[in-house]
Amino acid sequence: MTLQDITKRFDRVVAVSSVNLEIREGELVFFLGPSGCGKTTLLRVIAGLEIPDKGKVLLKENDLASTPARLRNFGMVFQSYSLFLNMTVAKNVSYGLECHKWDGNAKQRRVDELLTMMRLESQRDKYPNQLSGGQQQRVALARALAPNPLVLLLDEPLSALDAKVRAKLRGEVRDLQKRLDITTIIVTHDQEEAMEMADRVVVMNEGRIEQVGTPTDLYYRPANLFVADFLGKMNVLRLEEKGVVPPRLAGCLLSVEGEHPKNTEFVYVRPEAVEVLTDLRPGTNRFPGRVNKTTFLGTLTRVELEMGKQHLAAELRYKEASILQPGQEITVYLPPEAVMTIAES
Amino acid sequence: MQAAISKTLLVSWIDDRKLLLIFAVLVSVLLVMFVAYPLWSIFRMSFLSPQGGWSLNNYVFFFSEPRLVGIVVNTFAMTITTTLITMIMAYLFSYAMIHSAIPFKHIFTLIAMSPLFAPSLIHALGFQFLLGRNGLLNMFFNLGISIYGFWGLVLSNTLYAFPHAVLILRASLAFADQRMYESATMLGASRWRIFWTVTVPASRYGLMSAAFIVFAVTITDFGNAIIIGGRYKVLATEIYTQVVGQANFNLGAVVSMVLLFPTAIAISIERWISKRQPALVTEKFVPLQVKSNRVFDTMMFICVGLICMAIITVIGVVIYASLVRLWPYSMVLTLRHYLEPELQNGFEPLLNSIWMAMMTAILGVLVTTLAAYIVHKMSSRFSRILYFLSILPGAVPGMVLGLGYIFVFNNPHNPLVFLYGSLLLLAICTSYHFHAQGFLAATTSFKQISTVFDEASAMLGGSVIRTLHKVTLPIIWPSLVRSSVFFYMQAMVTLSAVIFLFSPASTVASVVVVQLEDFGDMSSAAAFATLIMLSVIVMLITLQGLLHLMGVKNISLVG
Repeated sequence: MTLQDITKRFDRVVAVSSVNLEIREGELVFFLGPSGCGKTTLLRVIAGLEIPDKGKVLLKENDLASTPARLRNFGMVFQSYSLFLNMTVAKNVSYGLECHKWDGNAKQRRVDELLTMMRLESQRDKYPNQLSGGQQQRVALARALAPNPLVLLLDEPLSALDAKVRAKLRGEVRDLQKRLDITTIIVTHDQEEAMEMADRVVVMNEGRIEQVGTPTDLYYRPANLFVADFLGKMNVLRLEEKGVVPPRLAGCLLSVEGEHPKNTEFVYVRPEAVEVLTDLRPGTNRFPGRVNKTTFLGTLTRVELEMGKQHLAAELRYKEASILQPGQEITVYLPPEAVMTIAES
Repeated sequence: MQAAISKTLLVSWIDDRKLLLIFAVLVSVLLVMFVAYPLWSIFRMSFLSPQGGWSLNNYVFFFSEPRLVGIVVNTFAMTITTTLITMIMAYLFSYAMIHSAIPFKHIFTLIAMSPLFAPSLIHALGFQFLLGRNGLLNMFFNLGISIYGFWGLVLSNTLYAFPHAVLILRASLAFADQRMYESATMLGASRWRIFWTVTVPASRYGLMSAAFIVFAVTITDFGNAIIIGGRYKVLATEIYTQVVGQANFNLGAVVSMVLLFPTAIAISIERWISKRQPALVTEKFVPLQVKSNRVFDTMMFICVGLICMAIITVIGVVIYASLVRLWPYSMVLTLRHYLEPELQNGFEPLLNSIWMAMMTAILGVLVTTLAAYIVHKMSSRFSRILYFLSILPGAVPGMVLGLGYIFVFNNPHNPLVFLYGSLLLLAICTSYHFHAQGFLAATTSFKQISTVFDEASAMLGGSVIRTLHKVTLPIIWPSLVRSSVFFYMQAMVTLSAVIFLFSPASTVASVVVVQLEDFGDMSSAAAFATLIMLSVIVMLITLQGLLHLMGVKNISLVG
């Protein structure tokens, strides 16, 4: 599927602005971004529920402009599930098949097949409001998949569920998608969800695509500060002088892997990459610092540090982290491979 | 597993958007034909001089004639007095229902609503039987009161408008938040102080809304005015006098415009207020727990009891009068008014009424639901125009709409002239007269169904028709039933719009009441009024029973 220069405005507000994107067959793509970034609008444009002001949606070279939503045969799962409350689970699942004029036997078989796949056999005659949130979501998924859709679209499918159910369904959706080999787009604001499940993630902000890439790409090679910040926490450190190679930080030389771009003012380090040493001897990328505050969070300890008037945070996994005291003099070690630079526009 | 696209994409010969557009055009054409055009005709007629040509002469004449200006003053004096009295009574009643621990609340509410089941003029008849020239109270106590005129009108209209006000006030008072009352009490406020500082401010939107509704209901009423107004003329009766009595259509049109103006303003303000009203219930809402307080409850019980007594007495005396031989000369109880009707066409008018009401029930629901659906689905300037046309009739007095229909459908050049004098035209007129209420109710129910259902259905390949049939209607049908009951009730009791449109073959029961009363055949008039009330109640009970048998328990058809 190809999106060409899609633009969508609501009154004066530009929801989606000149989006170009290529989605491969069988791929699981996430649209990720803060609320109001246009990701849901883009999904709805693909679904045919919104008509773009400009641009085209192409499916295998076919322009879908003249195909309304109901003739596209895309499966969609809505944020609020939107199960038909007046129909049983089985009726909900077979609704799309009726619309597509499947004959009786095939329809019956398909409904059974999906209910089995989703482990809903025992719920088939229940009404949606008799089901739990997770079950409702599985019915919504079964309903969307029933007519063998060309593309599956999910709008924040897991956001209404509690944490445990959500974690379980993530795995299920991912397995199902791989098994059925169906091109799938999921909209979410939950970066963890996107990182865990996606083949590729499209990070969006203010109607534009900020970066497209695999989760590791985005995490370790963010194209800009927005992406870096959105996918996990990030320490921003100001260099002593802009455009000096090799760069200097907090009075010492900073060693960086690869080539250091000339005109940067900042470098970036993920908190989990920062190391805190009680050994105060100097060395490569070792900076004298002080502990400001420690917070014990179970699996890790968050340590707020000060390093030559700059603040940064470290997330430490080892147990000894809890013995760090506020005010304690320590050494901050920034592994060269963890120091990122981002080209500034 | 993905077949070639051409195979899997669906094809359909119905284009949903075109289908919607076709219906949109149909609905608009009907609205223009049955609402906008009749109104335009009146407007035009009011500016045409009898010799032809546009002029302001009719208006100049109207406002230079002291008798006519007096009628305007009369109308406002009567309407404002009625509004004040009704609001005080209705607020007291609603307050007692929500804030006191008196018993029999259900029965009291039912009694308070009962005026809705009868034509407005039943109150005028009732007061006449009590305090008229040969009224029971006048005769027994030799009071010598003459009820005809200002006070008769005010009293009758107060009872008539009372349930309309209670419906709104009760709803706005019901959202009293327990926490507000608890904090006020903790701060040491007395019940009186709480009433003025918490209760009244919290219900201010309801108060204003109700006041404007009562104003509009009263100023447009024809039935009470024609029966008990006597020499005290108001605008609604003056239209009738000008048109039917003197065949002065131009002046009739001017009077209509003069009546339309304040009504439209009152209704517009009411719409504006109810739109501004913030959401009444928030998630944290704690409903009021009523604690009993003997002195307060007794006081409230007496007030509510008196109000209900008044309503029952007035309606009851009409039923009683329908059962006596010849009011007031021979008070022997008899069923003859129900067995041998006075009129030569017997009970045909009643059957006409029922038949017309059933047509209205179907037609009204059909046109209002369709209009609401289209406005809901389309979001363009066009739908805004459609919305305006749909709620416009709410601001138009029945007399005015009826007169407009004469201008339009009694015109031999109109291809629809064959409708004139038919029951169908009465049904159409009534459907459009109450279009706004039906439309707004339907809009509310469409809004309650999230648009997500439509979208979900579309994504699965469902057409607009299938979605409506399989998804939307199964959810909203209870409100459609309620709406059809509303149209049936209104059609049974309406008088103002149909008074201009009936022919001998299509006389309806409410018109017959006026005619019989005019002949002085009071008992027969009372019998017909009672029969109208009975047909409404029987219909309600039957339908509620049917729904109950079908296993639908949670639908209340009234209120």
